[in-house]
Amino acid sequence: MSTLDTRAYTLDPVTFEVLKNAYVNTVDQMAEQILRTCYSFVIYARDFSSALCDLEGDTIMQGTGDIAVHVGTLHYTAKAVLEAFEGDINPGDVFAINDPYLGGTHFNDVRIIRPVFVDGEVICYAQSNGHWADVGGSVPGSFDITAKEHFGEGLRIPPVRIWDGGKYLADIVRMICSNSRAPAEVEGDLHAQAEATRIAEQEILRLVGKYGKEMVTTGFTEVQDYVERLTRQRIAEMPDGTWETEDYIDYDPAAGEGLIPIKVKMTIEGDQITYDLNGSHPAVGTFLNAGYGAAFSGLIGGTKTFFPDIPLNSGFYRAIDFDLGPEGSVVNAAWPTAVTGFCSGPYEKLMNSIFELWSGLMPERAIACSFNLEYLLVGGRDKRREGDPYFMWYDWMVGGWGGRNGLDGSNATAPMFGVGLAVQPAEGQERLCPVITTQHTILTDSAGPGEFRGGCGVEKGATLTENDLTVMSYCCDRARSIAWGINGGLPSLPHGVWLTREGADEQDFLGAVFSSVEVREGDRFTRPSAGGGGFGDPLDRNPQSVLEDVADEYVSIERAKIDYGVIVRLVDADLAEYELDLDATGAERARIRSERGAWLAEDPESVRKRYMDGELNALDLVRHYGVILDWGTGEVLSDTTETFRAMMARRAVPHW
Amino acid sequence: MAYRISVDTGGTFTDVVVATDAGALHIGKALTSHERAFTGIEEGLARAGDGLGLTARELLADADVLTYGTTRATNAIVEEKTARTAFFTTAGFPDILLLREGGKPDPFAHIPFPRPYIPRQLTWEIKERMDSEGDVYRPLDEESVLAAIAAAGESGCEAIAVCLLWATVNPAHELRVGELITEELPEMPFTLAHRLNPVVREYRRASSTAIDASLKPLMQDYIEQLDDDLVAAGFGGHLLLATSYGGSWRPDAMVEKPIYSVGSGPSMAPVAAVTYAEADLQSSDVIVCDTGGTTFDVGLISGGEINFTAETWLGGRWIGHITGLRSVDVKSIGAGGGSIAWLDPGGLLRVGPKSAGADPGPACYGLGGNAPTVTDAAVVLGYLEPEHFLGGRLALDVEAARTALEQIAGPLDMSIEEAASAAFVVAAENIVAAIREITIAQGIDPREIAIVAGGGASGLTIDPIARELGCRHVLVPSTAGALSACGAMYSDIVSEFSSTHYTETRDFDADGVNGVLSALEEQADAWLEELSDLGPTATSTELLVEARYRSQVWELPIVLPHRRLEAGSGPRDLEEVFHDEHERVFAFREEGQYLECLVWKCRARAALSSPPLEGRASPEHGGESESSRAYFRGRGFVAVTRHDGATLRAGTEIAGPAIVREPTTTVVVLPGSTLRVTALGNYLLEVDTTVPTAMETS
Repeated sequence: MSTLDTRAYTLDPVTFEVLKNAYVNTVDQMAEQILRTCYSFVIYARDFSSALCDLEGDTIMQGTGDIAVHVGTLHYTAKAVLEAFEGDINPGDVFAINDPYLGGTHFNDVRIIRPVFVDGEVICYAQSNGHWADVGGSVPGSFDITAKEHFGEGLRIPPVRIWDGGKYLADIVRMICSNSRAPAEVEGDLHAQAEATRIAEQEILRLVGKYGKEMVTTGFTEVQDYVERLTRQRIAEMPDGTWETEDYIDYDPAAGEGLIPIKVKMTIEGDQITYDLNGSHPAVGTFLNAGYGAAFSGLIGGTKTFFPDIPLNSGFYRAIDFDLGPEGSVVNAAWPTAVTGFCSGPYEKLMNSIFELWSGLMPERAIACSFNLEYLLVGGRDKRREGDPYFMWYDWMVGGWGGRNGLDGSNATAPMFGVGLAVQPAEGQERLCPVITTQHTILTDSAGPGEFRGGCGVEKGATLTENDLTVMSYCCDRARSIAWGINGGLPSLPHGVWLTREGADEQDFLGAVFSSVEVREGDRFTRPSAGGGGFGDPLDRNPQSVLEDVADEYVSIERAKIDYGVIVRLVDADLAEYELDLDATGAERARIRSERGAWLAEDPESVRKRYMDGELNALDLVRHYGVILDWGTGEVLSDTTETFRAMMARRAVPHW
Repeated sequence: MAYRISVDTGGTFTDVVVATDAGALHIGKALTSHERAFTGIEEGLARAGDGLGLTARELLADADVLTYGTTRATNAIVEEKTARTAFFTTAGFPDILLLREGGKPDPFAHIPFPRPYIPRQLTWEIKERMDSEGDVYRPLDEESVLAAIAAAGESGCEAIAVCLLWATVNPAHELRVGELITEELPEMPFTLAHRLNPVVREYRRASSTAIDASLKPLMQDYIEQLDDDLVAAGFGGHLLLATSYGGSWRPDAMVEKPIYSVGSGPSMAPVAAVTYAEADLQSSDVIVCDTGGTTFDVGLISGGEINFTAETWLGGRWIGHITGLRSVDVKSIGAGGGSIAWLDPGGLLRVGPKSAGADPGPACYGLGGNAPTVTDAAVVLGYLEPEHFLGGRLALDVEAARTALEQIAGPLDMSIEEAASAAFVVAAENIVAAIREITIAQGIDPREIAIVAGGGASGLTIDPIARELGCRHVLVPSTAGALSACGAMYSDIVSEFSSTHYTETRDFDADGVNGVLSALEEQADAWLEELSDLGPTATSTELLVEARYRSQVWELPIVLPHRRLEAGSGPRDLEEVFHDEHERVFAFREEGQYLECLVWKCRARAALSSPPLEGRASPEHGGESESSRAYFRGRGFVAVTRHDGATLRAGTEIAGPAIVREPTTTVVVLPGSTLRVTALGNYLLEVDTTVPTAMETS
């Protein structure tokens, strides 16, 4: 039963609406300020968030355009600062923290927190969180895949004071910035963020001047109560019950091949949701682990997607209980386990799992698995410039989101980690880095087939020009645990980077996670972003839709036949004219229906042989045979294949 | 007698304003004729001519200048009725227009994937590549150009947009593509990106180019037709076209770069606002509001300069299409007279963004609408008089308004008047937030500047809005209903010339920069020279640079401290100006930091003789008022005086609570405020900001 029914609001609805909007406006103004004054292009690309927190550190309001991955963590870092400086927080103070073991996300996400004082008393805290381009550690960009402990990842900033009663603590800031490969940018960001919190302070003080301290602080409480009430009302409309699912990280290099399970059990009882992650795998030997803040963020972000209209604050969190299971797991990693890659690892697995669970409850919003967040970092010395300055080509791609009930997945969209994330202009990157982009296009056949297909992924290729001492690292996943379909839909394609050395003919597959691969002038690399998984049986897709996809170059004529059983004929390529052969389509669909059950049972080694002989390709293996190879060596990954086939038996086969 | 005429063709109405030598303004409104603009213009002219006893043709025959603003281009884009346009791009980059710069506005809402401005089927990849230093990385393969031109022709394309990577640094390939198009398809209109918008960041340059090319056939026909029609009707003066940045152009310039006509109507409202504010308030810092039936537009003027942006999106930020060029910065929100009041699932009262529009319209229109709107609230509160709406042309149904408002009054447990008043407060609050956003984002405190309120619906809510913002002065022009068309009367002819030349102030390329500045000035002078037949009263040029602190992502436009920047002192002085501007806009300066300078600009301006601002003619009988009652939050129904604006003499002061009606607008004066009729016949609302606002009293 709701605990809210008896709680009365003291503010009249109009004043309340005015104050609520003023809080939203305040955090959004912080965002605008950050966008226009930041130094790190990562922040400019919208990897930041803003919040007002109350005296407990709980979130009063979070920015409406904030990156999803910071959701559900800002209250933790506020609480950490409050606890560390209890009794010693004074006007003119500003604090910094980036500690993922105190509820933060990863070391790059540095939060700047300013108390707002009225008549000598704090009434709230303004917090600005931004992803700094580099916070030290062993690789440029502070994304070291192979780090096992945080010491290799970057600078850990516990709660520290950076302004003391209005006095800038230049020595402390210098110590922080000196640990970055980009000290000037980092200090610029620190100032931009501190200024954003000052703008929030100004706005709150203006509200206090207008409405009085009492009314403004009452509003802080009631806006959380309001969100809680709204959330609980919606949850109460859902049936009670328990549902569970699992998703996988590719592998643990410390343990050999085999998918790494992340288990999510959801219980709804009355107006309360409980998530239980017990049974998830122990922490892995890469940095694809999540601390508790990041795991909670995945739970919140996943759930919030099904309630897009509810504002975000701690009231929402109150309706969600969670049990992350024992410390030391991949979703509850403890100091000093490396956690920077949580965003490519457990985070999106949690979100996709929660999407799947809620898809059952709200079929009209159902959605299959989306592509995986990926970061490619190429860092070294730029020989085009005097003094060979450091460069960091820090790149991420858009990709396909899962197919939906009644709607194809969204093409070329930013990862679920942050839909607001920008696409970087090639021209912006090339001025700063000796890396020339040669291709950036929608990738044909990247979408997971389905009655409603996944969104299309893209392909991006580049060549290194004049450089020195350059290494490449990649933070992704799902080269093996490939973005899956639901309700009979099929998986999309494996993530991973392909490198062609200067003068070589063959491409090397570097995988979806790797660190510090040396690269030189003339080396070329390319990578796809996966499409989304499909929703529903692709043999039920309207042939006309397949025809349109062929005309748009989203699907090739060949795969229209293989994946959809739709026979398309070319009329005029220049004018993008094609036609359907409906009779042949009917026959082909009947053939696939009768045969496809057996494909998933065929001996993986025999499938591999047909692959090596060129009879089948990687998409056939993934989509129709459920066979996962090491895409570089062509070796069958038996345990992985077994789990992957079991996954398809659960998500696809029963709907055929 | 020589007249100056301005016309603003909107989606529904065509506003015509005729100014006499003496400065008297005559306004005529007519329905827009979409097929042929002139039909609507002629009718508007006829109405404006009524007051002068002249026909449309007589007015045209005696007019020196006709300035024309239109939503034609904007509508064509929104309705996807632009030309079938080909997109030529560097090989490997066919999806620039689709990928944009990424991002979606609401992280948790599924927003349908937005289509590119030009589809893949009409995109051709040109085999070539420049690098960031302007060196050829891959030579131009002319065969691929010829193949693309042939295919575009066969596919029935009517225009071509060419945008190659880094053509801003070395345009050789783009220029050659242009030559080949001219050779192969001499009649084909095309746009080269580096000439239109030499900005680094391929998407915004490509988007400008695609939009511009797609408008060329259409706008060329439209402008020629208008010109022909005007001449045929006896017009022998100069036709000027309003641009998106508030100045106007000659027709040939607009045919060359039609993207500048996008948004050219609304861009003129700030021009009127600044003219009136300077005359009536002696103030050149102004917030400009324009409230219509469905949207509320707000813009900003500081130091007499209208605020500009290069971030204008058609169809939504990040997911629509960016124009990428300098335009008047107007922020629009869904708040107008037709905005609907509703209750959200948490029991909160909301207003807008959904609007009842003109059809079915507010419940009180009696045209079938039954949702409660801001206009219905204004009727219930006694602000709008049923028998005087739109000059008495539409009788309002008070009972229908009450019935509609009952839908929110019941659940909120309020009386109908309380609910109407609450809806008013929430509507005003939305607008307050929008104004605060645009002002504070520019580092301006709304308490320190005045508001100019245009549009039919702004007078209803502007008093509480000003109080909430802490704004003491609001100017409501008597011509509020045709603010944009009035603005065109006072606009200059403006053009901008720009060139990308990267340098840093720490290692400043003074010779290179001064060379660029000389070339830009020459272009500007040549352009001004060509305007001599218009007899400009004054001309000027101004030099600017878009610069940023080292490694910062965003640039600021800075007016150069000197016309040439000498090595040594030049870059130092530029840094000083930049620090000040950065501090003004962003509230902090980074003393000692050097600048990265990107784009250099020369802005040229020619002023034409504008009609003098005329004082209000004194009416013979003045100042009658009727007593009546209206409802105010926290006070209930109180006695108010109602005034017919036409009967008021300059200098008249009216203490609130009072209501003044003009044919196209109504001004509500709250208790505690005073309304004064200015020398020019506009209304100056003096708001007592120490009186609690409607929002504070419950």
